[in-house]
Amino acid sequence: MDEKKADFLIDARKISKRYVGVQALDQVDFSIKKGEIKCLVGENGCGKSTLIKMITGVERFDSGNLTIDGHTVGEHYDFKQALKTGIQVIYQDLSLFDHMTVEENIVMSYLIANNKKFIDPKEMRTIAVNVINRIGVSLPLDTEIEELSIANRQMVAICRALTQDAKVIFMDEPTTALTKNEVSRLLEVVRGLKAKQMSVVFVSHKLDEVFAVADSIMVIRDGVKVGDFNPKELEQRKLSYYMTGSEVIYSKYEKTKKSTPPVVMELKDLSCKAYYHHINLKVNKSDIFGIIGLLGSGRTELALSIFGLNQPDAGEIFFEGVPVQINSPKQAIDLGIGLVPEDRAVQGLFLKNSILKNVSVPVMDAQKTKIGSIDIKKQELLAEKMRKMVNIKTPTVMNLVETLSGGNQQKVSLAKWIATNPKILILDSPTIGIDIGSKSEIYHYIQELANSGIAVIIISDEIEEIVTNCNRVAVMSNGEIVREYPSEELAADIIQEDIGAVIEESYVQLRNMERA
Amino acid sequence: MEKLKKRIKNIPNTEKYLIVIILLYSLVVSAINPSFLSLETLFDICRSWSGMFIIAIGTLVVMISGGIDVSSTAVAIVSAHITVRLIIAWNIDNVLVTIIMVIFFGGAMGLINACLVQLLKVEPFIITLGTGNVFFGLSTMLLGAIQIPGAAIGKKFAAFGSDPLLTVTMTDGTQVKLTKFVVIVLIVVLITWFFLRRTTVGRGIFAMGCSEEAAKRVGYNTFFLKIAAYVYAGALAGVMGMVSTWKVNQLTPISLVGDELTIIAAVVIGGTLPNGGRGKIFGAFLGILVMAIFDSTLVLIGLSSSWKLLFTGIVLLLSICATSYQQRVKNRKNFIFTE
Amino acid sequence: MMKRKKLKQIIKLDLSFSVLMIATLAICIFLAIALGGRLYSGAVFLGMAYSIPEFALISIAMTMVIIMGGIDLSLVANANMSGMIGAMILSGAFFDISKVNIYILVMGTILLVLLIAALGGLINGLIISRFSAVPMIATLGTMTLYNGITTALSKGKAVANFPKEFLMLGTQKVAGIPLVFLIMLIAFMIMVFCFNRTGYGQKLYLMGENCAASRFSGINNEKNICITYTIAGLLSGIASIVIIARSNSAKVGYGETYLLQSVLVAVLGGVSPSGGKGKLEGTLLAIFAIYLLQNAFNLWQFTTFTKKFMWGIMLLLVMFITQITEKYMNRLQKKKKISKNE
Repeated sequence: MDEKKADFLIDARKISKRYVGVQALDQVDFSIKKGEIKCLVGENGCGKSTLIKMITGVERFDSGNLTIDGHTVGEHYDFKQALKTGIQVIYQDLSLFDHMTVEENIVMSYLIANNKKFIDPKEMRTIAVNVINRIGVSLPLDTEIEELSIANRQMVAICRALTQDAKVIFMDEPTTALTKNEVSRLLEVVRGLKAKQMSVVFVSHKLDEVFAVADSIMVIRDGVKVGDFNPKELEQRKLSYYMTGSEVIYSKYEKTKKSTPPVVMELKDLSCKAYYHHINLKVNKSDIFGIIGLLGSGRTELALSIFGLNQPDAGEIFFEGVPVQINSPKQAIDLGIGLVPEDRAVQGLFLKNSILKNVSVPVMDAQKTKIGSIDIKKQELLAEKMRKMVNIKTPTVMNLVETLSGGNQQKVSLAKWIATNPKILILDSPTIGIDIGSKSEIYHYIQELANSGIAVIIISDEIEEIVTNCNRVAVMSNGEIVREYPSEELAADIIQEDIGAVIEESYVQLRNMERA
Repeated sequence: MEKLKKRIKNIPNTEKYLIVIILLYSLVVSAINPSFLSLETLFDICRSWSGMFIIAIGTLVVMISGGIDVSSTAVAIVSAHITVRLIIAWNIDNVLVTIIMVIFFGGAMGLINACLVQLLKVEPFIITLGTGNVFFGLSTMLLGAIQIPGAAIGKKFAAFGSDPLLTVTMTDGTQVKLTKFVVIVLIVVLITWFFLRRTTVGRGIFAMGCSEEAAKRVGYNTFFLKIAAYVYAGALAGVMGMVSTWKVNQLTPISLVGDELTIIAAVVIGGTLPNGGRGKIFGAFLGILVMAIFDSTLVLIGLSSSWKLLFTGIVLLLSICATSYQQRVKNRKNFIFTE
Repeated sequence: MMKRKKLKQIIKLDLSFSVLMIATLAICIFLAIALGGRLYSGAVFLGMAYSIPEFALISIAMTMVIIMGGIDLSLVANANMSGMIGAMILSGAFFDISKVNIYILVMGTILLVLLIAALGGLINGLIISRFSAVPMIATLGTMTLYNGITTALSKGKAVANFPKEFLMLGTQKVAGIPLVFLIMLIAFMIMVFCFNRTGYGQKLYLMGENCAASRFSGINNEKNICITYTIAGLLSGIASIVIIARSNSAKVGYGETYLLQSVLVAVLGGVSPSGGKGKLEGTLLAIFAIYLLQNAFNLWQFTTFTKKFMWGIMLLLVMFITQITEKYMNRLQKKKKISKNE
């Protein structure tokens, strides 16, 4: 038993954590050897974030044993101690400092972990340059973070974690803007530090990425460890099964209605500064049009333009055959365009307000009494109707949205826009952070919407989601549509791999161009 | 030469505009009244505005950390008041000890501010609005509001305020005196520069101003950072309170309070981001300089002092618009819509 | 049994508001016990009816702006500025008033004052919406500017001696109630209707809670910000008319304490300093309590310093109380959420 322990960098046994009324972790074992790359997968709310919090000392576990590098942690184990023992964490939102320079951000971990009181500019520069060279990227050290692209920011976050001779790095979905190649290259660098025996714990929902890089995969479901798996002996569908406990097959969308003219929306040669250029696409009634690409490819920027929040500087938008200039969200809504935004907590919902209020917001001006005041009754009716329509699990629509689960919150966001009777609805990353149950429900509602004649655009980075739900797909990269798939092609068996390859290829080209 | 060019390029736009405004204004004024461009004016400004610059630096540090301190002037006068009473009662007549004592009391009040900001989780503006009134009200309740002349405080005490650091005899025989306050200012500037740019805590203050959550995640103790910022500001406020007392050679317990927004204005004019995360000592300097120049020179160009506020208000608004708009453009580029 | 359950539900719905209302009532009750008839007398209430309106109007404006997620430090300065201009007209500083019909003069001046104050508010709205300036800083700037304008115009001196037809506004009664009090009441009722029953009012609260989400929901943030600050300016314009009519003078620096007190009154009335929550009715009750407290301080012969101390302590206490109730509510929420999941 003891020799085995020496092999492990982190050895957590029977970790349990209970929050008020819910067992977040139930006797979970987690171990990682020195130099191992382990992927932690599970649904939203399964406990993987909690497990990371326990191991990194952010919170204290109720029972169990945690040994790091041979030392069992004591009562007073906390985050700072974790940093000292060589643990580094890269968060999903990167936790960078916008108004500070790249160099200042990179060296911050170093300063704190080594308890440095004073700063020597030359030393800082050397450290920053060293880590950048080690990874093989080029970053402008004196530029402020807020001026950088998303991909570069993720690089900065990773560099920051590597300034220490960290023993283990926890990465929470930090690579959404990086290509598989870049992630692989990065992890090659990390693996190359095997001499220093650095381990990586990788949390990702992109199962194909997980398979590409992991030495081993650990699955958690509902606070309980399902098992450790070797990626070579596992396939994606099986993994889904382990994560959810059931065989989930999403029903594929088949467009039943014929497209009757006019085309709902057409973009002709639309360009907007550096975000996207020469976009041409047509969306018909009952289409579910998918736009896929990595973060930073211009998809969200395009959606914002259609919604009136990002003025394009060239090209035209045609709505039902008529050229329009969309200058504000209100105008978009009046035309019949709706947008379920990417960041539902900040952009999509008023968390501290009731479900009723949230659902009524975009149509508020239309629900007035004769004297021009708000008609509460109408709002109540609408909210109830929406609740039933998308099955929001709540005892009353007066409850605050923040009391709902992620999936139900997204349903509120969706309901809000269905209530505006849109002609075209854009959904930006609609199922991020949502449990599988709600996911398939939302897919069902989207398909229902399309069947009733509404045109839908889905922006996503999950190939399976796009292929299941869309009858037409466009791949975006670096602001351009690089490939469009009409419905016939989407029926092909290998379509998912094909799309994946197109995305990968376009980014390789992009990186080559950037380097040239 | 290359380094100088690079340095100039790196000065943020707000500061460049300010420098241009100051230069232009100075040119105009000296054209109308040549006596503006004299050593006497310079030394006068040094004497009158040293205190304000010191307290502005304290306010700058708090604003960089993401907070705001409208109790600064209250802290200034109260710590000066307490210190003066004590040095009279204990018969101390030592400038250095006086400064140490006033730093102590100012810092203590800053500590209270930091604790309340941490505990109450409300806008620091409202908290320091409350504490300012509490400090000021309590001290005047307990200690009274009688003015105390410098002579009654101590010989060396009074001398520090009136004895010049150096005296220059002009060509026409008049003597121009440079106050000793500039020494304090220089020390404060150096210490602050070192604190903000060369210490980890200083950098943490910038980090916390950018994002308190991210600072916690990187491993900073944000409560400690708040204490550092508010205590520092309180200490500097105390120093300013004492400088003000030296300046007029008497302690006026009800003075200073009411000027706190002016100080914030100066810091903001200089380009500090109101939400935190960015700020420069040079910016605060320019802000104070703008106010100082308006204050002393409007008379020279024939406008009465009642125009001072107006000019200040205009410059302040221009600066606010420029800085805010710059930030808004950056935010929109990143599709941040949170303002 | 049913009534008690409903009452409990209502209280729980917004616990911090209820707690603050209880605290405010407690103050009133305490003062009643401590000072009895000296405080709760006809004379005092009449005096209140005359002197509260100017402060109440400013507080309504402040409440409105804070609910939207901002703050307006320039309210008093705006009032002083527009009031000063009106005062100078009425005292004949700009032109010889004896040549003009007095009623037209008075009406015209009032309209002008309101217009200028509304403009002052609009400037705030434009700076904050077009430049995305932080409201506290932007209104600090306009406060400085407006004070500057007032000082420059008046050269620092007070302006007085207005025509008696104008001064009548300050003393006139309608059905036994002072005119100025009625004006305040009407303004209050209009604003309450606005907040609770109009689309604009709902948008105010939404913007205060999350201005990114409001933008994404089709709300025109810029327009609403301008409207709000303009209305706030208008309210301070009404206040300025009340001020100069009652005090027969205008000067820079009048009403300095109103700023802190209006913030105090707003938070005591249940407004959340970060926006999105609050009720005007609460503010009004708080105004009443604070006015009584102010009078009590006078009766107890507190010095200005003691009063300042009291206001400061009260502000901190109110924040403290709000904090504790929020924490308690959060704990309840968590329990609710967890038990639902089980």
